[in-house]
Amino acid sequence: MEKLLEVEQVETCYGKVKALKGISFSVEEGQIVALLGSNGAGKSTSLKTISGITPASSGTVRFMGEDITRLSAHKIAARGLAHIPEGRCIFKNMTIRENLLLGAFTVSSDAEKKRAMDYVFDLFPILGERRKQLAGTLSGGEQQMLAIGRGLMAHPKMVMLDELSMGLAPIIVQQLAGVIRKLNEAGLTVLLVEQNAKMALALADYSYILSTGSIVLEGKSAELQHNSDVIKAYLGGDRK
Amino acid sequence: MKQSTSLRAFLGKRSTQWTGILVVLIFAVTLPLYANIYVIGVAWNALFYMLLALGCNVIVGYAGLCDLGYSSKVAIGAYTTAILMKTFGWNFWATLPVSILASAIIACLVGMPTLRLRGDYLAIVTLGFSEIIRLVARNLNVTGSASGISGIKSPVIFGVKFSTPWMQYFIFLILVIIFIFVSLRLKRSRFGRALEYMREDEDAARAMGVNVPRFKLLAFVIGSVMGGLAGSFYAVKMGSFSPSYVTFTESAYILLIVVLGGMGKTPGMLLGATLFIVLQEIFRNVGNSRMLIFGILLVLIMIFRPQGIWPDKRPSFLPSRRERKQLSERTETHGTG
Repeated sequence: MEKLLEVEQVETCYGKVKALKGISFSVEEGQIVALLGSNGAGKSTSLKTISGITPASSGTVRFMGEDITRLSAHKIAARGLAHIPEGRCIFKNMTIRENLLLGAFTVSSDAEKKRAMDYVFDLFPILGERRKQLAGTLSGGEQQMLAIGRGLMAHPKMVMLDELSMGLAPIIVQQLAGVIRKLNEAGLTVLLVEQNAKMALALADYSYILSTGSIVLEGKSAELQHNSDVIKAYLGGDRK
Repeated sequence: MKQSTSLRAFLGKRSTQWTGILVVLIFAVTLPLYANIYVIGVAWNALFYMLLALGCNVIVGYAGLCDLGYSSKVAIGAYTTAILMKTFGWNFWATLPVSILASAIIACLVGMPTLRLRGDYLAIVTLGFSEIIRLVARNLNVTGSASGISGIKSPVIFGVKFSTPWMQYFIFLILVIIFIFVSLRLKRSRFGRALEYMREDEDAARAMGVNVPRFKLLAFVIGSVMGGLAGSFYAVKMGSFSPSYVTFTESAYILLIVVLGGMGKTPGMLLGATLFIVLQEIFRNVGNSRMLIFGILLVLIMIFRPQGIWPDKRPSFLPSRRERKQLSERTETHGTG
């Protein structure tokens, strides 16, 4: 299968602090890949580096074979790589419709925008019902749906989801995971960043485990689920 | 509660809004028929500050950039027109395109390296730039050094000299209407939406494909050009222009109107400018303690209406108390918080 996203020896610094110490991983087309790790492991930084918000200080990021390491964020987004940031980052004082329109910012045709919006409303009917409501009045789960919907508006080839499950009830997380799987089956490539390892491993085909800025373990999710180190570190102590 | 929601619905109606606009417009157009010279003078001053507030609003309100040197942008337009007319004998109207161009170029030069700064740092840069403009103008011969340029000839418009008070009033009224139109169009355009997203959350906007530096610069340039144009008209109205205009106080007044009226709200700018000028006139006999009263008023407004005096946008979308209650009940039962 073709590699859609390739990250090679990427280092990212915040001032003098190295948040990523030369990580390499790749995502194949049509895959769901998860980046796991605890707080401060560099998960969110990886996504921000790929999407150009905090550019890498060294190494290369390739998307569809093109080097995007030095491209600015808006150009990367225009290439079909959507980033759904941590904490949802929706615009609470704007309506759901306006929030979705931001996702289609790089799309110029009105018909295309309309089609994308119908697609999102089809995926999350609750958003369609409330399209004129302010986004701040939505519940946490609905806000996450809106964030995902916004990421899908420009018809991306790949989405990067940062902490999908953050602050959400398990039942909502399950529901969203179902949507991600459905989107994946329809051809979308997904890169997940998660603290909730159980959910991520169940969803992803392949997983990487990050710790303090380096990748310490990788493998097929099904295998990692039975790996004793992973179980110890992420799936709750010594449970068999 | 019930009364306030019905009032809200009444104010939110299209027909009410159009009637309101019509009444204000008729009042503004017919004002010179029954007002004396003093009132027209005050009204002109209010119109001038409306222009400045509308221009500054593009930078401060729309783009969320803190600008503490707006008076320097007015000065660039005023000096361009004054120099071209006085030294080179140009026609007033011919100086306007040059004034626009000069404002835009200088805004680009200042904006490109500095707009990446956020918040306080940008405020300091704009403040510093304003000081540079003032000092340069005071020390150059072409700008007439400290005494400035005086004796700028008044242009003739449709056979009427611009120096007639009611003519000045009408020209500025037309300018204000043009600026309002531009502001509203900008706000509803793709550009306006980009700025709104950017102001709310810059990182999210960038991740979604908004070219943030470009839109910031564009807002800065548009706001500067509007200030420059207002300055050009100000120069011919006053017949002179001197560096003493470019002060921090003047910039602070403009910013004050923008914040007082409600950042980003066009009607708020008009209301803020009117209030600012009218209050100044009312308290004129109080003398120097005028600004003290002004300060107290400002603090009170900021306490009771932190979003500015103009009502919040889109009241119909804001949930009423009842809707809020339903909403919180719904989220509680679903437990999705």
